[in-house]
Amino acid sequence: MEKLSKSFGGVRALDNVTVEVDKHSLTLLIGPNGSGKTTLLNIASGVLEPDAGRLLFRGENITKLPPHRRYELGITRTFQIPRLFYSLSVLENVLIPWESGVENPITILTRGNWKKAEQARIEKAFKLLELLCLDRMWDSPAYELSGGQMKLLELARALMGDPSLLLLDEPLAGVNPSLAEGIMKHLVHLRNELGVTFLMVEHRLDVALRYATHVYVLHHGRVISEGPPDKVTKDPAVIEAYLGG
Amino acid sequence: MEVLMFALSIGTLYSIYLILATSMELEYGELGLPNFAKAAFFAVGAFAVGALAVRLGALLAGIAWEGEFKLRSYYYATLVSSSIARNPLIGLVIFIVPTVVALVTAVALGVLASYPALRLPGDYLAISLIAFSELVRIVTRNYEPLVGGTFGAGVPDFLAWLGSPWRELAKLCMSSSVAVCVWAGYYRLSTSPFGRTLRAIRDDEVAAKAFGKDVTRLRAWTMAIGSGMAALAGVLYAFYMGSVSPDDFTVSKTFLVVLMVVLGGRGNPLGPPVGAAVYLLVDRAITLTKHLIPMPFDVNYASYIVLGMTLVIIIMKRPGGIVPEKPPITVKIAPPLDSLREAAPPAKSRNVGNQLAYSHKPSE
Amino acid sequence: MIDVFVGALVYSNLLALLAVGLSMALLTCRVSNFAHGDFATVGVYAAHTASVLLGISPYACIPIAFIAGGSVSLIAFLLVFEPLRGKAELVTLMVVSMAVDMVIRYTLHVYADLAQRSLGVYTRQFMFRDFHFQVAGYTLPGVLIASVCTVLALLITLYFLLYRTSLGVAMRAAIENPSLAEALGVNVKKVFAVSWFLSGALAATAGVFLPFRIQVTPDTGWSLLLSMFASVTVGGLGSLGGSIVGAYVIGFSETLFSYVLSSIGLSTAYRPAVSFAAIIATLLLSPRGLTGFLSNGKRWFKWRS
Repeated sequence: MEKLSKSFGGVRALDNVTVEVDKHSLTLLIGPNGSGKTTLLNIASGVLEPDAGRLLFRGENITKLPPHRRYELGITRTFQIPRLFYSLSVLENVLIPWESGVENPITILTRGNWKKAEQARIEKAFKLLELLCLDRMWDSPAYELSGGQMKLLELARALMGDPSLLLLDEPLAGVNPSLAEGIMKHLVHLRNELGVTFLMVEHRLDVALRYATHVYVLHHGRVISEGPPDKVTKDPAVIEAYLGG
Repeated sequence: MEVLMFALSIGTLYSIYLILATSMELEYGELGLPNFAKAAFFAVGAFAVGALAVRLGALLAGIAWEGEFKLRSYYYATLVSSSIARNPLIGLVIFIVPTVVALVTAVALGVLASYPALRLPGDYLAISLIAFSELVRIVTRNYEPLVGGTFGAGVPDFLAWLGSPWRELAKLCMSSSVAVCVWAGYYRLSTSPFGRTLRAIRDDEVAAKAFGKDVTRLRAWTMAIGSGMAALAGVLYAFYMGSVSPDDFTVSKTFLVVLMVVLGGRGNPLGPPVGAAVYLLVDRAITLTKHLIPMPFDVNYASYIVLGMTLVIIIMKRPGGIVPEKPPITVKIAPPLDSLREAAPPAKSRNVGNQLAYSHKPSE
Repeated sequence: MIDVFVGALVYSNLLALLAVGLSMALLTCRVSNFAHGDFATVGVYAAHTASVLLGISPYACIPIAFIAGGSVSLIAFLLVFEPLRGKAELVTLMVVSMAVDMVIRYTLHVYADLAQRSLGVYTRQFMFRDFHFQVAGYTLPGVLIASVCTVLALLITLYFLLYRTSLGVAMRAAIENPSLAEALGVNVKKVFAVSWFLSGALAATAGVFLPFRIQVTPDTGWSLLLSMFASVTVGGLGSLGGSIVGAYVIGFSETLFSYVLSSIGLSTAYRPAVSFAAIIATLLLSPRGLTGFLSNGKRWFKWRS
């Protein structure tokens, strides 16, 4: 039921790419550096506008939708180079994905009922932070974190909003191996329990491939191969791109 | 008696500056939007009073208006004041009507001014807003029917029915209670998800958008609130001064407000009160001591030089200001939080994190 | 009409010198320097003082103004902008420059008070006496020929400095990528110090011509800021060549606008509307200014691309 297809023409970064992400899948997007993976995520999340092509989400055209409206539909992302709110604390970073409408200043001034919701959110946030081993530094500002911890915080922040489609841009880069395994397991758990759909860009194929349900391989802005993980890894075109490209 | 009057006057001025600094703090300190047209929004409040109060008062008191506004407004302001002394109701009307007009105008202008912010990089937005503010001043300075151009406009005393020290005391009470309300409102916003979101937008606009923040709307809200505050300060200022002159609202006024915010500490709710206090202290100290040490030049210049140097030194040596921003500012629920975490049954948290149980070991 | 043209040309010449310096500050330290107008005022007072003390024509004092303005600018750079370079946000830098402006401007006010007492001459609302010459039946002010010659000489020298000397190469490299230039052995601080000196010196030179046209006060330079920023913006942020073109566009349109205003009986005080409109229109319609518009035109520098 959930289909995400897009095609772009005229962009050299992405050349008529069509990617379909099935509901409840963990779709992996791989390819050499500069093959257009991040560009694709940027377009999907609305950071960039495609020069041509369409973006469908649950059958609706969302090509022209601004990023915050896409978030309301359940599309959330993480960034390859962490884009945290650096002067905010770790906890505050995770609390940022609130339901929209809470930030109406009039309601905040006249009513105090956001505090209850905040309390519930904080409890939820702490569970997430605990899961990602960030709970001990909940009140330190984000700029004090190490590179790997920043990636984890990115992930925590994205998971906090209960997305239905999560776009992950190299969530495992710089994360220690045992934790990486744990994160992948948790993602699969989320997929099974809550039906979250994942579109993930990752270079750590050793970990990621084992959990992926579907793989797209991008090269020079084109899809050169797609299918289940074991099929793609045997595709000669992929081997060519990675080794010879 | 003189000391009392001085104290009352300082207190009123401090309240007005506090409101201005708070509005700048909200826009520049929290949202990172350099609204350097502050003087113009401040002026909107003062001009509303200058243009309406004396005309409205004359109308209500049944005084027939003769002659040009710029030449006669001070004269009629005195006449209206004496009618207010007999009929306090007129005083109430000439206070409330301009206030409402000022708020509506300023909020509308604020929302309007929040749109160029989408296209312009920070410093050029600031320059455009400064230019806008100067343009407002130049137009009102040359268009005499509004507030009398360079002549200025007289403002009747809406508290003329009170005796001398009580009138000033009442003004102080009013200004300070408005200031306290404004600051308390700002504090509540700053320590709520709203303030947190503003600071998130300041830190990274793209990420804030990706997490569902309607940046355009939030900017419009913030500018509306900030401009409304500034206009309120302008209304109080006009009644405090007893007259309105366009030349009072130059870029320097904006700069003083920026100075208070940066001096106090951007992003910290205590910044505006501290910054405004330090500014007023330095300014008044220099004005008061100028009689003691005769100088071969105007000592007011020295006050500006000192303030300028202070600001440069603060930014270079202590960029956070006197009271720097503290990150977990919104988490006022922080103390119960820690206990909450300890009190939470460990089984429950492990329930979620059971797949990761081993990965806790390195950190524990 | 000829007077309007002469006025526009002289004004644009000065604006060109000021805008180039402002662009250099923008390029080196990314600061929208609100103190730039004051460097011009420093030039005014340096020339005024020197001409009174030495009893010579203000034109002969240009070198003194050049050095004075350059030195003030250099001090501002070394004390304030160099330590903050690359560390502070754009708006913070701008706020700092506003503070620096306040310090310089009010110091000039104090200086004007002191000089008035000790020299016994007017230091506010004064003008320099100019010579006049006749061309084809028109009486033209000397400042016209003097400013044209000075602007041409200085801008050509600047061009050769930037494009024909190793210092110029180092300067352009340091502007493009300070850390890379540093790694390649360019002393970025020194190179930027030179460009800040030049920036202030050009502004001060422009300042010397001001009292030939208008009455000056310590606030005169400051009041020209909006037009300078408009020139730089119209010319395409941070392009030196562009800001010169921008200066002539703004200079001529401002003069013509106030001519039109006065001929239809309105106050010429609305003159800053031109600069305001130019800034807003450029930033909203073509953020890269004229250079972005005519991208085949000669780009001296790229910035913020």
